[in-house]
Amino acid sequence: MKNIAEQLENHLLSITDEQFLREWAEIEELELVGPNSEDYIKLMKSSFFISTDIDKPVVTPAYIPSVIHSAEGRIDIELSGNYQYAMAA
Amino acid sequence: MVIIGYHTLEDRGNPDEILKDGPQKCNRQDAWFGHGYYFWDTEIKWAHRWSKIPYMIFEASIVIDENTFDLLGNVQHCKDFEDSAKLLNDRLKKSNKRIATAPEIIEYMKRHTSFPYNSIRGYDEPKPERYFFRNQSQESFYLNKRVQVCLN
Repeated sequence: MKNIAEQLENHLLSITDEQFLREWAEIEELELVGPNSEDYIKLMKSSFFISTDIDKPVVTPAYIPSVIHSAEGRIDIELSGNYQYAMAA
Repeated sequence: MVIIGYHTLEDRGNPDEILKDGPQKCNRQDAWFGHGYYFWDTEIKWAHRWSKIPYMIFEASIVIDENTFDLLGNVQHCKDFEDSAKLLNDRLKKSNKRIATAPEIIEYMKRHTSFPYNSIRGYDEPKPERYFFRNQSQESFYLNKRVQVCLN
């Protein structure tokens, strides 16, 4: 099988400019802007939180890494066969 | 190879729901490799970046194998990405479009090649630490990479 770049090159050679622009418009609709340098800084502070309710009082000891391996024990759950996770509570 | 990954979630007092539903899919537009389930690779400190919000951290054992598009440890994959980006950006330039972002390139590869991977591993270098191979030489390498794995 051809490698990914070769496949991409073959695809790009096989389509018209109009078709390429249609395909790219679909990508642009996703607005996958990616992080810029300023975003990286924000990302370091807020990575992947679902929301940022800063008024909510801090009640969890989860800041301490060892809590992940607390006396509550480790909980392994099979999710997709590709990975497992353990929850820190 | 198996690495340990860390996934941060807001603590909403709903551990039962999280246990049932698992990690949250990241749909942020500025995610490194598009939409997916993101884990910091090995270094838990990257998961501890927000000091005012209650949160929980998942620890995951993640398999890095032939199903991973590995932009950290696989030179052929890096070359595939670089070559694809150049091809795509050349075509975009002809159409007077801006150059593509990394997640856009990944998404186009997913749609228009076989892209036989279910996870992507990559990194950035916000605070690179440079190490020289010998004195009075510029030959060096950088460490302190922030590495993430995105599961699709």
